Amino acid sequence: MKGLTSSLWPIRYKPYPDELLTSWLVRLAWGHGLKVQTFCNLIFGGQRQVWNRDVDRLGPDWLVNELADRTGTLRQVAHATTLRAYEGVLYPKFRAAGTLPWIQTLMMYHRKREGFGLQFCPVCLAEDEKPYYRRSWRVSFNTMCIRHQVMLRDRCAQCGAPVIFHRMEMGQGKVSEVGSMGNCHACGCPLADSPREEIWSYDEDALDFHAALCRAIAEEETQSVDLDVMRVMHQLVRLMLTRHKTVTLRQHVCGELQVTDLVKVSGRIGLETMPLMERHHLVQLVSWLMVDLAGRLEVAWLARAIRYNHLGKDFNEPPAWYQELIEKFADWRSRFQ
Amino acid sequence: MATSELKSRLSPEAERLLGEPDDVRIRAIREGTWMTYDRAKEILARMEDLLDYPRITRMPNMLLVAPSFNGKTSILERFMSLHPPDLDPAAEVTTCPVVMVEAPPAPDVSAFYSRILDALMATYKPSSSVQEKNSQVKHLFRELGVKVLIVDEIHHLIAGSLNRQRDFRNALKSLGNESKVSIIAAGIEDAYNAFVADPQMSSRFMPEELPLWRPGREVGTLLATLERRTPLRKPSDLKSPKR
Repeated sequence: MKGLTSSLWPIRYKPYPDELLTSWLVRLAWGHGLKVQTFCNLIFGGQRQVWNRDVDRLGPDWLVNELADRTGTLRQVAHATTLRAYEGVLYPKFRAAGTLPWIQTLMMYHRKREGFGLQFCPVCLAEDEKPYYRRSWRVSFNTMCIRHQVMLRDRCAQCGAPVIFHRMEMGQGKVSEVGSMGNCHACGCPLADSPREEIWSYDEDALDFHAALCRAIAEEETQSVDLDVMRVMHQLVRLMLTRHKTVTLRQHVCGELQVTDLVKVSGRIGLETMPLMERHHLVQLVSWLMVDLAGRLEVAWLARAIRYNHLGKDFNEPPAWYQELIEKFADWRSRFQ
Repeated sequence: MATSELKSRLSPEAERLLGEPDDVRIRAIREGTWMTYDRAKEILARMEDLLDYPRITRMPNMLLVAPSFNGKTSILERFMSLHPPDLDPAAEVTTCPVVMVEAPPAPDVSAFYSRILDALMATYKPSSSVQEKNSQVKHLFRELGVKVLIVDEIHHLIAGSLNRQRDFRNALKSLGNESKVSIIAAGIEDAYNAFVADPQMSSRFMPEELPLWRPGREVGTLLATLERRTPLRKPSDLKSPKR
């Protein structure tokens, strides 16, 4: 029976550049004139649920390979629509549970998403012939659209709801009544009409550093992203968010840059669950450190904003250059010389 | 009989098959062949017209009527073979200008839509409501660029109550109106009666008849062509009135 049903679909859209797996899946379902839940039940059966888990992140083979085979798409192209493909780029090893470094959490609750895990650029959505969602919009540090020089957004400007495009047809009679994927699922307002905010920053060099990362991830030039740099940055972000009383790195960097701290709650909430503004603020601070890591960390260390043992805490197999750099801060007595 | 004489009476393809074993030749004969004739050409030309017709408010349709075994389905299949769907895997959608289905055995609108969705090789929910299937069919017609829908054995329409017949006719009419697709319905004379019963349908579906074959020049030509394409070693002289 499987052989009889494994032919090409009459609608076999290929993924758009940097398209997210679920965005592609929703386009295919709607292309067939079916609701996404109906389409998935027909294709994958009731046992394999798609919408009550983060399939963009999990990228299960049964789903990715089916879409690839039925649409005549190369399997590696289909795989590249998943966040799993960032393995070795943003994080060293994929894991199915827990938070993945630099990947926005959706905070799934049944088939709803309570977090603001999917961002969008209103100008990109406005320019798309058919609006679609990019994989890079799930990456935490990617807070701006370099192409259009605007800040990304992570919620509907009208009603404040997160982006849950697969729920757009809820309560709608027919798929043809849904309209575009570029509307808010809750209030129907076009997300492309969201206010376009200019990119803001605290320091020009830090912005350049941050922008280079955003450009690499958005333009699928992931080979230019250094995993070790990403790991060190993530460690610094963790230190900036820690509730440990003796670590005041974030406050120190804000003081150095003479900016107001935008982070409201630190501690249990990781960068990957934070709202866009706070993330942008944090990545700007870390980027400022990264521009001259040795020099600026030393100043922070001298100012007692950070201690040696914290710099390496819970950091498995740090890169040699980072280990060498922090070794300078191993002797706390030298701070007084 | 001399080889040269034998060859001259056969088409090149039949000639090639002469050297093959009997089972191969029998199979080739059973496969049949498309033989055109004047009336078939006229009808095919009319179908081509429908295919090229711009999308207007009231699309022209055709009702092909003929007795059984008179070649209706062959003409429809010939038209299908001239306009096959483009199944290029690299393309984003299948381009399918002509879709052909057989009317369900009873005037069941849901089964009719299911048959269309099957013909389009689409994924669909068999238990969906009639409205949902209708909406999906119209959507796919738009996406796949369908311009002509062929419904063979349309006389199945009369195998149901008058109400169901009416429902089926209305479904056919509204599908044509809403998707701007020309419909070619084909069936025996009963189909003609079923369509004439509804003035709206009779004004939309222009009848084209395939007359019964009668002895004459055209039958002779057809039989001569058939013989020319049949890889038999001895002549049958089918066209001769004496036989």
